[in-house]
Amino acid sequence: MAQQLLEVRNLTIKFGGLVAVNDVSFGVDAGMIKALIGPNGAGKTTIFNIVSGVYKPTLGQVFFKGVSIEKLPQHKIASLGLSRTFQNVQLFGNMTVLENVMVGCHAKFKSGMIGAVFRLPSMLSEERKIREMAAARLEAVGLEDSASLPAGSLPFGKQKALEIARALASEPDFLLLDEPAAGLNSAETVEIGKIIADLKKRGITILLVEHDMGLVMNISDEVVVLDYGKKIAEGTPREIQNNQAVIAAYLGEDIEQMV
Amino acid sequence: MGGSYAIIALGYTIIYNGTNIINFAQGEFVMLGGLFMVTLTGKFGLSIFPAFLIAVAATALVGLLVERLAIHPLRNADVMSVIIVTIGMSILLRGIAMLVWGKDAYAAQHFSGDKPIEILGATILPQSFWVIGIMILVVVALQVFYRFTITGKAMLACAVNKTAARLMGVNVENMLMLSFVLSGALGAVAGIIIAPITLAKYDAGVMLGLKGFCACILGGLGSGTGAVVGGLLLGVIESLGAGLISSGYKDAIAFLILLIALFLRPQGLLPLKEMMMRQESH
Amino acid sequence: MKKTLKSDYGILIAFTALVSVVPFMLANKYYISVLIFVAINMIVAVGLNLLVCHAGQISLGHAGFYGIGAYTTAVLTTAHHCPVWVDTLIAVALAALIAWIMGTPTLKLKGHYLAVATLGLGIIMHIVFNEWEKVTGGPSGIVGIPGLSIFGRGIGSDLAYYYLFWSFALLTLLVALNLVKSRVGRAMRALHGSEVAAAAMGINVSGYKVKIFVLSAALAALAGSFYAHYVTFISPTGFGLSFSILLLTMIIVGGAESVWGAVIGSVVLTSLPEFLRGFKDYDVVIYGFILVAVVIFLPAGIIGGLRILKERIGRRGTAESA
Repeated sequence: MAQQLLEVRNLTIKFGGLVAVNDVSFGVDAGMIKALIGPNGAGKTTIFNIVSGVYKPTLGQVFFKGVSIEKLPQHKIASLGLSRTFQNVQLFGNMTVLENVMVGCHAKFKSGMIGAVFRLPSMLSEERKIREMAAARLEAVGLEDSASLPAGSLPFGKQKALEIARALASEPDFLLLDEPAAGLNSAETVEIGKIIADLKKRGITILLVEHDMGLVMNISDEVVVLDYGKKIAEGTPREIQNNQAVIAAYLGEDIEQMV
Repeated sequence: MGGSYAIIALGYTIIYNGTNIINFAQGEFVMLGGLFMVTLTGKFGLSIFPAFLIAVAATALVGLLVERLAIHPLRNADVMSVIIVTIGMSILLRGIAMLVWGKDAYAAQHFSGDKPIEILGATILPQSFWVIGIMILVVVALQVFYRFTITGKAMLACAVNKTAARLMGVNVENMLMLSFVLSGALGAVAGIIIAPITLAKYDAGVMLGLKGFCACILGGLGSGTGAVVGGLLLGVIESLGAGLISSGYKDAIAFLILLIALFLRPQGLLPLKEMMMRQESH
Repeated sequence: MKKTLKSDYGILIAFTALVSVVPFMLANKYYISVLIFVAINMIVAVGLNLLVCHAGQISLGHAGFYGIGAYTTAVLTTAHHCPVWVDTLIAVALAALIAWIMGTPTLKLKGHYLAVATLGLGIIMHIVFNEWEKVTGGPSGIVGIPGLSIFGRGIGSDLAYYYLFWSFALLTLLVALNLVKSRVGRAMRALHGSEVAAAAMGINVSGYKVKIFVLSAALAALAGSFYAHYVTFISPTGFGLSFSILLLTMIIVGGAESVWGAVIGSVVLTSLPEFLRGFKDYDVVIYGFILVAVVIFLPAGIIGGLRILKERIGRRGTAESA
């Protein structure tokens, strides 16, 4: 069995009186695409926010590469090789497309204030490398022509692609994708699906939250289903599609969509 | 003193509740209220009650002008611009007040004589009773307004979610204007009732405004009862501090308390649950 | 972007040339002292520009750090006979230390709360300047601060101060320009754009905020120390809320989108009172009016206004040639 890159153990988080995530455990093997699905408010994005360090869990642990990370600050988790995108695209709108990806390279480099102020040779050569890396990432998602535009001026589909390019710039081993297809038309969704499948080929492990069941069932190796903060099922897409508890949870939503 | 902080704090709360804006010109409403009152009772020889009404109405009008001229054009701008425009407005109002009334401090007429009353060994100015009484009146009136009138409810709805309020048929723009009118009026009330105690002057609004703001943060921004409790608390702590440490540092104490309140609740005093709801609703 | 840094350098060289010849073009020597204050204010404004415009953290308390710089210099040189320049170093270090201690809890706050907290900090510092009479001399301040000297030779003329302070101002500008176009600068601007995304990219958000806050406070103290040495007497009046607001006005009116905004802002707003002098008491009103009008009509400041004007002219030019 492949090594588990990420393991979530008995995760619970309470906001005031509300239990948003309730005793959830699952693991993600290195090299796989795992999907987190469930009705709205099931706690999917909350789990993402715990794993990436935005929230601290009330109870439970998160292991990444065997290290417990649930108490680490966000930027430390990121520099361990875990990157993410956001449900409501969070680009740096005040910066250019290229600069956005250059920020993505942040964790890979070291030069600080002194280097910047005196423009030391080490800093300049790092800067050159950052620029090259960022340009290559842009090319990979087909955005090289928009490099010098303000990120906020891109159409929505391209903003989503840019977010992925930025997340990849730190050369992560593990990527959290929060609804990569939300708000995209069907052609753009196919395109994003290709990008994600391509990432897997390059050896990046992916955990994604997504509402587009077609996309989820197509690209995922395994699926975890949440409802009201609890895990109600886990398995291959085929197993999930036939799981009674899952169908019950989705009753009222369009079951057809799942097949 | 605490009572007037409470009323100023309520002024901030009204604007914050209606618009999510913190109005740095709030202190200027207080200053204007006091100065209008001085002129109306002095120069025009009006008696207290009509002068009070006219001064409040005039300041409310200034509130309306501030909203129309400065806030409305910035309805889509970021927080920083709004902060700076309200600061600019406060400088402008202060400058105009200086031109109109000069740099002198005016003693306003006490509502019912300035002979101190002795109660339980403490000497208290009759004006203090007016301050507390009017504060209670204002609090009750506001509660009634928010709880039992359609307009009050609509105003709260605007603060929670402008879009949703608009969909429910609330005229958001009118509500914003009304928020400023109301808080202008409240600022004036505070200014009028404390003018006899503290003197009215063109730059009196700065400190009073800031103190009111401290009170507001202390009690929890956006909460009416919080504003009152915060105001009274601040008044008490200040006079204690002035007695125990030094009266020169009295103002520093208010701001120290403000900082401590902010540091202890860095999430900005919003309950955590509400914060999470906002995250999820994105 | 590399290109823009080069063009920044070009403008900086041209600007330096202009600064070095200006004293010879002035008819009235009085204007040199105005320009000395421009340089002093520019050092603060450039630091504040980095903090407010690039890192997106508002401060309404920088007059306090400016005051710490001025008072440290004043106290050390008058009461403790500290040699000049050493006092400046201590002033900068002290302000940086205070900024570091206060910055950590303060910069966790956002938006209005941050504005109010920094305002509170500034006011507390101002009150201390006023009330700690034993050390600060209370409302009457401190007199008899020695002027600066270089290699043991005192600086006597305004012209020498002009070149000295402008060298520092231009150096500050160079540092800021370099910083913005670097990994650190990008991290700083990223957390302005989206804190949560910046953290997800491995940026230590609170660490960078504090760093930049400390840098801007240190620059403010440097300027404050220079101010004290130049005018030789200080009192609390110049270090209160209104100076904090003036500083903020400089960077906003100048334009928040680039460091050059702080340059334009400090030139315009430091010399404005000289032009408004004819209006006597109306100056406050005019000043308030300018502030409101710029925010409403020129949201990107003078710099932004110039850029839009240039683009329009450029477009008209191409339209005509076509």
